[in-house]
Amino acid sequence: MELNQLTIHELHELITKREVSSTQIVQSVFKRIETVEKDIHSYVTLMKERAFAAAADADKRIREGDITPMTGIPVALKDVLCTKGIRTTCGSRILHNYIPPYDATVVEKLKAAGAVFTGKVNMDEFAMGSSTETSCFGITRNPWDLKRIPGGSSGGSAAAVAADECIASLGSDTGGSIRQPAALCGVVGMKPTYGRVSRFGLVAFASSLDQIGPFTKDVEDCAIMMNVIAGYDSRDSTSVPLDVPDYTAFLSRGIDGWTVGIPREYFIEGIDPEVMEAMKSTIAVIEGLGAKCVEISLPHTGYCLAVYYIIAPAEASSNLARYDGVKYGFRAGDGRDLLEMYKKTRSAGFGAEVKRRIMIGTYALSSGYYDAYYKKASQVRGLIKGDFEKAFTQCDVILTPTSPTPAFTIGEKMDDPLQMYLSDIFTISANLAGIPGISVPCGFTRRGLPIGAQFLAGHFEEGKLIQMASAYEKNANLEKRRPNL
Amino acid sequence: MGYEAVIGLEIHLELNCMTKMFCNCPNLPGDEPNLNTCPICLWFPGAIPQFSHETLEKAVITSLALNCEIQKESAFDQKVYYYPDLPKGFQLSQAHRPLARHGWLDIIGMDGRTRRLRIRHVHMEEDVAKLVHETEGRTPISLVDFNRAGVPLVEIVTEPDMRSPHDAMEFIRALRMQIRYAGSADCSMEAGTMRVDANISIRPEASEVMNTKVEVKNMNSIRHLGDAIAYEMQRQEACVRNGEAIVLHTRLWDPDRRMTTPMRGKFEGPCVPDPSVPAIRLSEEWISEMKSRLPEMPGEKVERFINQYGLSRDEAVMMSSERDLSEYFESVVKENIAPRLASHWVATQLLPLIRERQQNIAESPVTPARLAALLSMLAGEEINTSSAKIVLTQLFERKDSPEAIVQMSGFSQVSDKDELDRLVDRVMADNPSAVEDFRNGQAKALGFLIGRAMQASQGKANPKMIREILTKKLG
Repeated sequence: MELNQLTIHELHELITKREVSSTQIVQSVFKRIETVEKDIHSYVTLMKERAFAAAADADKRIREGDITPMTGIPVALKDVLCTKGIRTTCGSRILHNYIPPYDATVVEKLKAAGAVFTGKVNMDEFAMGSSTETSCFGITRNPWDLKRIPGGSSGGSAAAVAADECIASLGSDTGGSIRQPAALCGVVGMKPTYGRVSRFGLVAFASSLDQIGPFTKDVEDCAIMMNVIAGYDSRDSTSVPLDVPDYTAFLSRGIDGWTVGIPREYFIEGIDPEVMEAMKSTIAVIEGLGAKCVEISLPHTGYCLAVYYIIAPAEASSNLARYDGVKYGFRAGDGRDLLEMYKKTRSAGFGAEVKRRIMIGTYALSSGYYDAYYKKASQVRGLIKGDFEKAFTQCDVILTPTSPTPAFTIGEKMDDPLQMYLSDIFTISANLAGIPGISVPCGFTRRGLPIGAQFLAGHFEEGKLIQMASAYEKNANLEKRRPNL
Repeated sequence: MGYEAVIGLEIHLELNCMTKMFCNCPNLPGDEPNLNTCPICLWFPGAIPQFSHETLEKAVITSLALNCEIQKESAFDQKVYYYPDLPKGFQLSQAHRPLARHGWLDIIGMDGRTRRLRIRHVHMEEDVAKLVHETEGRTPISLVDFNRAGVPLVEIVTEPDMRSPHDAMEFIRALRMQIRYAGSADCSMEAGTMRVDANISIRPEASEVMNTKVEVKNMNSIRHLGDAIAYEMQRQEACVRNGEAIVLHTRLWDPDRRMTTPMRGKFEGPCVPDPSVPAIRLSEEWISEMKSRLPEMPGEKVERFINQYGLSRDEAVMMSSERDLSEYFESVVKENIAPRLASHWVATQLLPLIRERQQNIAESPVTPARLAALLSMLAGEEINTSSAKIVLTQLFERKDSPEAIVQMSGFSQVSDKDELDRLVDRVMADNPSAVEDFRNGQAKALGFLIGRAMQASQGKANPKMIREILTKKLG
């Protein structure tokens, strides 16, 4: 086994025993990047020099005995997280040269914990998409099948972990952008409760839905990453001042006596039969651990997609209004006047999907339509939240497939936005309700593509998700596979 | 047929907070351009607003000073429009759920009767950046100064209750007095900390219809506000008489040409509830605490000054017109000076001198204690009125106490009986014809003789005693 193939906790053990140094781990990761990056294209910007400097610094701290579970561990950052002095593009031409003057809170926290950043990873433009095909820096490929997409929008974060081009990564999830690519790339991905992790320095897509979360190789690593990034931040008024438990304490508690809800509305036509099969075996494993699986109902599930595609574009239309070519980023320089400069800049600076959502959002908010669309959608969002509140009086966690299908082929859904949007049909509800969700690998298709199971819990119950996912992971006896690159 | 105007005002006030509204940058828009900026008020990608509690407090105090009902729940919206003065393409404002509603202010109408003008709501919003257009040189350029971006504002929206330029001007004067008392904003139209836009329509007199309005901006004094409304009323009346339709639009007041001209519209986009600033929920207790922080307001103060100090209503109104002035007045009275003497001297002597010197009464070198010392000498007949006036002007230039100035300049009033007897004898001997006139029944000759005596004493003689002695000797 190469160092870059190990988990955070395995590497931490080796570091603590002084058997390997952070520099050796970083070397191993960059060697891997050099070998596979041309096929995968996870990264938009590599931070090689800084990474080795940070590794040397980590090694010094390690020698001094100043070690956290993240010290010296190489981590990749989705290119939507602001990094001081390092280009942050959101995969968009309009920010292709934007260098932030400050670090996002999560970046600060990881830095303080001793993590080493390997680079900024690819994504759908402004996190709008489910396939990482809309980045102005080109597509990212699925390490399990290079003809296929890695999911999205955090496709770079998922692919980099799956291809061992980093040990863990951060992504962002507005409608499934962590969980869906985690499922499609066979890694663990968690979207925390809205308000659990500070969004300060996360370039906003839809501010009432966005949340930052980790991609890791196993559930234990997910708990370790959550321990670092979770917590109140005065710079984000929507973060919640609640104590953060030690998430690693939930790892081996088991789920004996738990009730797992299976929402009947999520087992619908259109789910790939192999995904359905994997779900059945997942239920069997869970029941074998002493938990009871019961059918529950989330009656407003059918409205989730419609509500999401009003609220998210509406918020995006104002969040993206600042990209006008005046202060930073791309500017089309030959406008005759201000209005023409705006039009040319935004026409050339944004890709088709971003423009589509800005237009949907502007329309939904325009006078005369506000009540019919945005206001009604907000009301239905309340009902969807209510569904979950009721459900969690009947069960500890909810189990669903993460994605209705395994990874699809590159270009397959690019001309059909509605088909693309359906790819997030099981993940969107958690963002609308603000609840946490985790995707864990639960098997492979006959073609060798990973399948993910999603667990959902009540607000601030990330501990329960880790307890559930960890128990499942330990007992599922899934075949240990690595992508063949 | 006559026309009347229907006028509503939208007033933007810059709150005098220490920091900006959503970040910790100093609220000093006049500093060197772009000095007071940070990633939040420049709204770099990833920045999140942090709503300042000071803004909330001062906005609530402002609303309370305007007799508004504070809403238990209010929230921010994002008002989207594209212009370089707006660094994030939207302005945080409270379009859907304002901070306060249903306020009012009383004014005296042109007919001399009190009128109550209603305030629809008060909401908070952030100020935008300042654009500087440089047109000299080969290529004209526009520069943006973000020092003002994010400065805390409240916008006060009135009901269309005003009917004349007089009403609008009086409303602004009343509003300015209330807010300056509350101490939450400077309210200077000249300095731009108060900006008043007027929505004006006209209709046949005694009609109840609401016609299409025109918005007029860019008035930088109360006088300009009145002039702009008067001009706009005439312009609209001429339009109607010529059969032209009034179109909803915005006009700018041009103070040099004394007319309004149409303004090019900005692109106004949608308005969405802001998800990053949590809704503002206020408890009864907290609102009561804010109420208790309001000082005694001018209306109550006038009544108290009349009852407690025996001032006339005019004097009481005068002494209450500004909070600093009223506090100055009361400090003088506390030094055992008769209230009406204090009020008279402050209004007729002190204030003109302060205005001449462009000073602020609260920071005047003539402190209440120094004025009181002077007035106490005057009341005790140690000096006379004309000397007191001279001493007062000297108090502005010199650090010495009024007593010392009186001593050093020999202003002490002469009240020595023998000395004054001799003075009167001399004046009577020097002016025999005036003495003759008086004895022949011409009473005004007494004034002439008193004047001569005062002159001879270089103003130092006690005029009351001079009169007594003269009357006795002439009788």
